[in-house]
Amino acid sequence: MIRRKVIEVYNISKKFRKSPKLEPSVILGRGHWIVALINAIKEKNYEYVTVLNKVSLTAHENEILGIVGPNGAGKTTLFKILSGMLFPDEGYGNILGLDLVKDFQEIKRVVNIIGTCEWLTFYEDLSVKENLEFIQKIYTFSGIKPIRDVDSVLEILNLKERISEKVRKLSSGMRQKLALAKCLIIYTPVILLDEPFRGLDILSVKELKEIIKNTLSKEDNETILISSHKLSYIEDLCERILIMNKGRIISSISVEKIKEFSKKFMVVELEVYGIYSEILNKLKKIFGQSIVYVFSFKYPYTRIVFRVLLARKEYSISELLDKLSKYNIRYLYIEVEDPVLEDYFTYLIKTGIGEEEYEDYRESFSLSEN
Amino acid sequence: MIKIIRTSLLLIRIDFLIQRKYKLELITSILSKMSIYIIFLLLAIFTDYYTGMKFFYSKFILTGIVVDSILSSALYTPSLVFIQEYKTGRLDLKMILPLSIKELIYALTLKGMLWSVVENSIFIVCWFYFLIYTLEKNVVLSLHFIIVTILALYSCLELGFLCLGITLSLEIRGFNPMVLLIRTFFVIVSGIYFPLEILPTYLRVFSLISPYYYLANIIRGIKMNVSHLMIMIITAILYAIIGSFSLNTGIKNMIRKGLWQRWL
Repeated sequence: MIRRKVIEVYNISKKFRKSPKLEPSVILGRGHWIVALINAIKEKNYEYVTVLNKVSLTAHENEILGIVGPNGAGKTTLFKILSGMLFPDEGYGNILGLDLVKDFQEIKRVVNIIGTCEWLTFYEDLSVKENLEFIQKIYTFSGIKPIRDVDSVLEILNLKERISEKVRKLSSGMRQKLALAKCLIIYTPVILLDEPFRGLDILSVKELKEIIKNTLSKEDNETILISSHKLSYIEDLCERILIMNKGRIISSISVEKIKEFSKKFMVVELEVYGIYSEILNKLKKIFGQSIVYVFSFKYPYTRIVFRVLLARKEYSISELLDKLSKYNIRYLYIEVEDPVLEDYFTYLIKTGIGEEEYEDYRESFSLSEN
Repeated sequence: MIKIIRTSLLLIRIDFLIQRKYKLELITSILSKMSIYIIFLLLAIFTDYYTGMKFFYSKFILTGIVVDSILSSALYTPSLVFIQEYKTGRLDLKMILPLSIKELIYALTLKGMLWSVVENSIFIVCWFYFLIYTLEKNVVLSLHFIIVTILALYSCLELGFLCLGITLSLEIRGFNPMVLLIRTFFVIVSGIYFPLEILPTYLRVFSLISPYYYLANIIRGIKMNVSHLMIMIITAILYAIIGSFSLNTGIKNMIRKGLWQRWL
């Protein structure tokens, strides 16, 4: 079945100016406006940081699309552009036919964004109910009728006991849940969830995932874009996942591709005591050519965790243990497992293979444009 | 329009809910707003007392204060309300709502204007007193009175949007000096606190483009020509065009650079 394209974005770039060279408070006391005037005249001399570099993506009707990448990859900026809160410097795109630049005022009616600084977007001195009623009313004024009432939404989110509590008294996890209430109250064809699982415990993550998958996607038929810096949060939620790094989408992967990846590779994780370089050399000798990359965390007191991605080969645990004892590696634990999405992500970034995939990905867009 | 009015009323309700514990804040803001005007008025009463002029200066200054307080509120409100929202971090909240930014600015301005009605309540009562006083004397003049007040308020609001546009274009994150400049200029060339005759001729010409001048004249019972009314309408249209252009440019600059974000 061919699904309608809801979001189409082509070669979008965004640069941000570095902070002003003249600090108002230092040089001119309260003369902000003089500094502003000087800065406006000297605009050419500013240094810029590229936050998004020719990003292209499409999202289809009722799709859950994941966007993952490390901090500073440009996920939040991309979401702000998609919600009409920022203009791109280059490129073009549309959401349900509404241009990102020309129709930026109307886009807010079809897109619902839950931002990373969601705690800012509530009236802290109002209760949970008052806040949700405010959102409900303001959408009603714009002709968007609520699909659920406040009470039933709070019941879905298990927040009914906190109905009259002020938002400032809620924990960060509860605020995150409350942020999702905005999407449950009203229907918008597109929902952008920017780091929805940040600061949540495993149970809350599971609970929110259920709501996103069953209520927002299946019941309400909404197109959902989720960003996260942790792949494990969204790998079982999304049909397709885009990997972002340094302002670019370096790869677009489907669940099938991850399965294919896990067929090709395997992971050995071990925690050891010793000198990093020595152990690394020993591991290279043990695994030889089959090592793809070694990822490590260093802890104090020479404690190191190695996560080794290997070309798949049938290693038995006893065989491995023999080899480790042969090279005199003292380990705390050892685990042989299938690679997860996180490994794929690190693999792309570390090996630079993502760069080639990115070119293929871009070519596919130029073809679809024609 | 209905959407803007409903939104601004909802925002006022939210303000009331937030400030349910801080009712004193409103009283202090009213008192601080009035204090400078009351000092002006007391000075005028003393001058009257010592010069033996029976309420001459007091009436003159009171009319000036009424004009200044009402029109300056309209001039200040757009920039003031917007910067206040930005500083408290509530602009982020409102940016993601399904309102266009223009609608949001208009709703916030309307909310600010309704608050300033409360703050300037005493001067608005004075304005009503002058209106009734004119109505008793001359019905046509009182009709002029209302038309001139509406036109002057509209002109000042559009000038306020012009200032807000400049605030957004130049990325001023504190107090906007443009508002102060425009207000001082109008106060000087309109003769609201002193007679216009003491100004040099080249400055007196500017009084024609000042909404303060017309409102002060009508409150003081000076009849207006049709030509004066026409100039007022033309300047109001001109201010509307400049204000709208400046606001649009400012909004586009704000969205292009992401200035509304506190965390950027």
